[in-house]
This record gives sequence, structure tokens and C-alpha cells, in this order.
Amino acid sequence: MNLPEEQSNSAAKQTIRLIERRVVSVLIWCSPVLFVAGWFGASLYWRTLLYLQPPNQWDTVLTSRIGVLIGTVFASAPFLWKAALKFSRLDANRFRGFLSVSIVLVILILAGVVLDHPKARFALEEAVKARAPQLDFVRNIAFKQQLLRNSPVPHHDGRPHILIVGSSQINLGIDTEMLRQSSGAADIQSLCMPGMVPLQYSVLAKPLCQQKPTHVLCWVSEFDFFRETSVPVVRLRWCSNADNLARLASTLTSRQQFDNRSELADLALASLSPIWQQRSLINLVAFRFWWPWNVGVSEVDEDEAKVGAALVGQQRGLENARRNISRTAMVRANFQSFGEFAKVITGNHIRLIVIEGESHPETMKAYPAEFRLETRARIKQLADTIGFEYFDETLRPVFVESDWRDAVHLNEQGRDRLTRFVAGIIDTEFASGQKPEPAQPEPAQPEPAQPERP
Amino acid sequence: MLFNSLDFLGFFIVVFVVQLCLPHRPRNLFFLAASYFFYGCWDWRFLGLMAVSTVIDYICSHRIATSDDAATKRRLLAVSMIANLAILGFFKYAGFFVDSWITLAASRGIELSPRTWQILLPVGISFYTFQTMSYTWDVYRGEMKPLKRFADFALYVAFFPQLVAGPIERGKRLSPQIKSGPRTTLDGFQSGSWLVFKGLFKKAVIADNLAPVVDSMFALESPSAVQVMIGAYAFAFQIYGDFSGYTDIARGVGRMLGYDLSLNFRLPYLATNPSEFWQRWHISLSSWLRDYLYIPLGGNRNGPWMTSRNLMLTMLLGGLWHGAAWTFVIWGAFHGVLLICHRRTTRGVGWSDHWIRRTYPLRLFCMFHLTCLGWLIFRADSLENLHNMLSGLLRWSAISIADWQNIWMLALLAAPLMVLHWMKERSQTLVFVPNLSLVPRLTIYTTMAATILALGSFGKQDFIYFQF
Repeated sequence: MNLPEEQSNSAAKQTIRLIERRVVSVLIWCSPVLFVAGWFGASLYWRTLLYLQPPNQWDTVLTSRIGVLIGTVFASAPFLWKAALKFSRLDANRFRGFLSVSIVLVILILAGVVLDHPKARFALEEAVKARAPQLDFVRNIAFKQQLLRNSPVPHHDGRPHILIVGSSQINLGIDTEMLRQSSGAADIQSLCMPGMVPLQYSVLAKPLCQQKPTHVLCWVSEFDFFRETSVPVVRLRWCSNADNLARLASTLTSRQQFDNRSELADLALASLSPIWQQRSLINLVAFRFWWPWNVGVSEVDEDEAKVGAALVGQQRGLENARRNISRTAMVRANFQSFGEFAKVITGNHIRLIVIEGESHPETMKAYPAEFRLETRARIKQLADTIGFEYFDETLRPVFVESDWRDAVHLNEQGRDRLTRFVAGIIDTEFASGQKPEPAQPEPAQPEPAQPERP
Repeated sequence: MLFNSLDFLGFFIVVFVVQLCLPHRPRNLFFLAASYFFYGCWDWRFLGLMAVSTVIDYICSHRIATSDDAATKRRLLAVSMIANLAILGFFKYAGFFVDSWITLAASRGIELSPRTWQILLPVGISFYTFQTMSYTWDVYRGEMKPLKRFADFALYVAFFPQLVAGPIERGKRLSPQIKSGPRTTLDGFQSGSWLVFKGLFKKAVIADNLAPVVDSMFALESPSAVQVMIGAYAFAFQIYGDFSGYTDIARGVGRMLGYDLSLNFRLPYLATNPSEFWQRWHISLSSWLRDYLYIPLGGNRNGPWMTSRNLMLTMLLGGLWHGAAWTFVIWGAFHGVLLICHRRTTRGVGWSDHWIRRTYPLRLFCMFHLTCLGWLIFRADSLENLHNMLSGLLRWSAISIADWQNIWMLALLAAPLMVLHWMKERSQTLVFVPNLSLVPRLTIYTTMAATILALGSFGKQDFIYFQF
């Protein structure tokens, strides 16, 4: 029994060279086969690899440019390897380690540039969508990236273009079709993410404005502001850039910046490297490749992991609220971030409508009521200072137990009530021929749709 | 302060730059301060414990070296061993033995009040205790002279790259380096960087991506045979990636600072028998157990039965070293049985080269699966969990999509590693990738770097061996 040793002497190098030469000579003999395998394999299966779709037809092989390219790369690699072996003396210097690192860095930068190209990004996002179930967080990121990259929707005759921003609470709380019909909106877009937190609002403010909406609708509560204990990296990484990072850092105190140094470093790296920025998507594409062809789509759906806040039951929601809702170190930063968001939105002459959110009455008993009062007071203060419309629970419909599908999400009945209320706000304005104006410091507030809660 | 964290990066950059500017003695003092700071980042309260252990062994080893009286030497050795084992026994095993005693009494109908106190386990206590014990023992045997300066000895105990999870360094190997104060060299920096990079890849990409798969499989109430196998295979690669990744980073950091730490892994899953496995897995522990337990017990000198007894005792204690739980004891016993069976069946049998070559794949396959069976015992949270997993091996059901995805993930992470290991075995050198020619070397470096960036998991999982 010979155990391998940690040796880097010339004998070890010679042995490795010998192995390399043998492998290279075999590969060179096989290069025609490699070319054909690469060509045919890529032509037939690139859709399967990327989008989990059935293989292409055989007649596409001859015209496939991707196939020829991959085949050529496969076939030429052994020759490149042989050339490197032949000129290996050039590589034998004291600084070969540093040189290797430099070349690898250049390759990674180039790979980042390629990944930043819209076509590559689109392919990655579509690959994610093919693999992830409906409510998967990464799937949601893919959709949001596409939404923000798409060119803005043009205005139609001054009709409203509404952008819904927030967590799954408002995503499931608004019936977009009903809102479209009853408000006469030209377009309604949803930029909601599961568990969206206030720190996300400020970094998404500018891209949202580029969509040129007339209205931005939010639903925020203590559930959003009293939850995060640190900078939520996974939620912010995909949209990280130097501007966002600076804005985020400005909302944190120096102590918070120190406590969140790893998170900020992560986001800084994301703003530099597209590979790091897109790592959640790449991770999902790489690790969720497997797809058994003998299983039909319906069976696949049944077997998919049930994820997402929409499926949180009453008990689980209660436990989550009890565990997560507290006065964390990020509360101040959350309010500041939301204020930044509101400033950018109103500064772009977009009407910002903020509705005070709530949860199932039982869920709200799981944490101190003072959080609710504090949130209301602080948002009200922001609304007065910045000039957006804030509908607290005295000005919007009251939701009772029968309006909730689970601990935090409205059911159909609750959704209808909230949608009618929002449509009422927008419809009143547009029916009267008003055009969206720059937000006023003290906007007129409509009558509450429901009587005040006793 | 985890090796794969931003904090460690900052800490290491400071240490690296400062040590370049310092002469030998202040440099050692600086390393000692840095090591205590590093350890204190986990829990500063246990710094005192490490200092106590250091003082006892420093005094004992010096007295042993200067004394001419054999009885005094024996007494001093006994003081050192008892003190170290008492510290280790109290912090690591007291709770386990008290709980076991209560359970045993309950089974005899005696009701004892359950334990209400908890003892925190100091990180790395098993590693530095074994290190100091071997030092004193070597001085007692006259195999080395003790370090004169207390600061040098304290640095030997606390040297930060290997303090928390090894390799368990012998005094004979590390103390001459501390005494001479090796400097950072260009070659050392380059090869050390490669080790750190490789270790980071193993930890962040392989181990931490497999961790959720393993956790989910071992948490199943009634796992199927396929799920048990996925759990066992995934854990085999998780623990290898985690522990050998840690060792690689430790050795790489040491080498960048000028120190050469021991090799701890030698392609363990290419072992073809249990004896070979222990020459490839956690080498610093297995050689410690061999030199300070198995051989003093008599080794293989007193006939087959005594050899078997010594093997079993060594492996049982080796299992218990990993933690205070019955699963570790069973795991140790399992490996003890494997070693005894291997010894009994192969002793005196002359295998021809032809036969050895022909049976190589079969022996490899069998040993790998026996190792995985061992990992199943090792990873189980409790005896119930172990029973659940083992009974799952008899439960067959259809493979779900989630299982296929786990299999795919396992193959994606483990297959390239095994191919590389096979190439290393063929070339009989562990320094394989840095010695490749430019094209394959850059291909591997770039793939690894891109994979760390895209698929690496950071800051979520502690190193598994920290708990030991």
C-alpha cells in the first residue's frame, strides 16, 4: 500500500506531466468525436439544460450555431492543452501562483460582463422560472429583475398606471383585475416580494420610478418595521449597486454599520461582481436541475415543496409573530428607509398611497400593541412631512376575522373590500378628470369606506 | 471567528502584515496575543482554562526534563495527565456520565432527580488538551527537550490556525519551528494561499451546501432506504469537506506565516481497508491514539486477543473523544470491530499483486460503504434517531423529485472531488492541481473561484469539529 505524499518536487511534477500527456493524446485522438458530441449535444439539449424543456428536433442540429460553437470549443480544448504542455517552461517561474490568480480574476471579470448582458440575464431568469415553484423567493427575484429591466409601460390617455409595492400581504390583498376594471387603470404592475422589508423600499425606489407609474400603492404595518434584526442580505443582494449601498449605509448608525459589516461587505461584493449578485439564481439553476421526464406536470406540481408566506397557517403565523415581532435594532433604519423611498417617489411626481396594514386579530395579539401605535404615528409624521397619502385604520375598511385566510393574509372577501377601497380612491380622482399632480403636503383624504372601529 | 468569515479575513490581514515587521521574539509574543484574541472571540471566559492547562504542562514538562529521579518524573507526568484529563472530563463528559447514571438508576427502579445544571463546552478543548498531553509525554520519554520560554510554550498550545480544530500538533514537530521562528516566504505564501483557497472551496461549496440535505434526511420521521443512503453519502462528503476544509485553511494560514502544520487527510475515501482508512482520515488524531494509547496498552505485542482488546479500547476512546454521546461510543466500537476483523482476516495471508489489483474496485466500494455506515452512526442525534435511520434502510418507496434533486446535488458536488482524488492517488502526490500545466490549472482555478462566488454558502454553518 502506497499512500500519496504531499510532495511538489520534480519527480511529482514529471508524474503529473506524464498523466497529462497521456490524457491529452487520448483527447486529441477523440477530438472529432468531441466535436460531434459537443455539436449534437448542445444543439439537441441546450433547451433541456437551461429550461428543462424536451430536447430539440434532430433537424435543428445542422443549423445550430450554439452547437457548432460548443463542438469547436470541445474539440479545440485538447490542442490548447497540448500547446500549454509544450510551452510549460514559460509557465515555470517563481510567480506562477500570482500570475494564475491574475488571469483567473480577469476571466471572472469577463464572465461577470457576460452575465450582465441582458440576454444572458434573461436566460438565467427563465431557467430559474422553469425550476422554481410558484411562491419560491428566488423565482420572485427573477420576475422582479425582468420587470425592472423591461421598458416602462406607456401612459394611456392619462389613465392611471398603478404599481403595487410590498409583501405578500398586499400581493394577496389586492385583486388586480378587479382594480383594473373599477379604477379604469391602464396598467397594474405588482412589485411584491414575500416578506418584503422597509430596507428594500429605499433601494427599489429609483428603479420603480423608471417604470413611470402614476400611483404607487403600499400596505405597511408594524409587521414590516419591527421584524428584521440585521440587514437582509438575500433580499437586497440582487439589486445591489454602489448607489443603493451608499443609501443603505446612510440609514444605519455607525454602530449598526459595524454590527452589519459582513452584510454590507456582501452587498459591496454584489455591486462589484455580477456572479455574486446573481448567486441565488445560479444556485437554484445548478442544484435544481433534475427533472424526471416520466413524471407529468400535474404530478410534479403535487410533489413540489410548499413554500411561501401564502401558505402559512394560523398557528404558524402566530408563532412567527410571537418570535419575530419585537423592537429590533433595525427599527429606526426601517422608518428612515421608508421615508427615503417616499421622498423619491413623491419627488418624481408619483402619487404614493400608503395604507396601514394589519393581520388577523389573533396574530396582532402576539406582540405589544404599542408597536402598532408607534408605527402609525411615525408613518403619519412622514406623510405630513414628505407629502403622501396615509390611510390608517380609521380611514380604511375594518377587517374582521372572517376576512382572513390565515394569520397574515386576506381572503377573497377581505381582498374585495380592500380592492374596492383602493379603486374608490383612484377612481374618484380620475372620474373627476384630475390628472396626477405632484403630491401635496396635506392631500385630501376620502371618507372611510367602513365605519370606524369602536 | 470562523475561518470563512469577513472578520477572520480582517484579523488575518492585520496579523500577516504586522508579523512581517517584527523580529523573532516579539513576533512570537504577537502571535500569542493574536491567538488569545482569536480564542477569546468565541468565549473569553475559557481563556483562563487554556492558560491553566498551559501553566501546568509548562511546569510539569520543565520539572520532568530537569529531574533525574524516575519516580519524580512519573509523579509529574501523572500530575499533568490527571490535570488535563480532569479538565477535559469535567467540561466534556460530566453531564454525559451523570445523565447515563440517572438513566441506569431509573432502569433499576431508583429515582434520581434529573440534572438541572449545564456545563458549556469550551471550543477546541479536546484538541489543545491532547496537544499538551502529547508534549509532556514526549518530554517524559526523552524524545524532545521542552521549550525554555513560557511564551513559546503558550504559543505552542494556542497557535491560532490549529487551536480550535487541529491538526493536533506534536511538540517534536511544532516546537522547533516556534523556537527558530520561520519567516514568510514567497513559495510558502503561494502554496499556503492555494491551501486556503482549496479549504474554502471544500467548506463553503461542498460541506455547507450538503448540510441542509443531511439535516433534512436525518430529521425525517420515517425515511426510506434511498433517503437514508442520500443522508449517509451526503454526510460523508459534508464531514470530509468541512473538516479537511478547516485543516486546509489552518495549514494554509500557518504556511503563509512560515509554519508547516501536519497533514491530516490523505484522500480517505480511497482507502481499501479499515487500517488504511485510519492512515488517511484525521491522521493527527489516529497517530496520537496509536502512539499514546494503543502502543502503551501493549499494541500488537501480546497475541491476537490482547491486540484485539487494545484495538477496541483505542477505538472506543477515540469515539468518545469526539463527544459525550452513546452514538460516538458505538461509532468507535464499530470501527474497532472493523479493525479487528480486518486484522484477523488478513494477518499472514499473502495477497498476490494480481489479486490486489483485481479486487481493488471491490475493496474500495466495500470500505467506502462501511465508512458511510459508520457516518450514519456518527451523525445520528440520538440512539432513537440511529434506530430510525437504520430501520429506514429496509423501507423501500418511490424516489420523489426532492430526492432526485438531492441525488443530483450530491453527484454535482462529490463526483468532481472524487475524480480529482483518483488523479492524486494515481500520481501519488497530494499537490496535484498547482503542478498541472497552465490550461487545466487555470480551468480548475477559475471553476473553483466561480463556484465559490456563485454557489458558496457563507457564515451559516459552524465547522462540525468545533463541537469536539
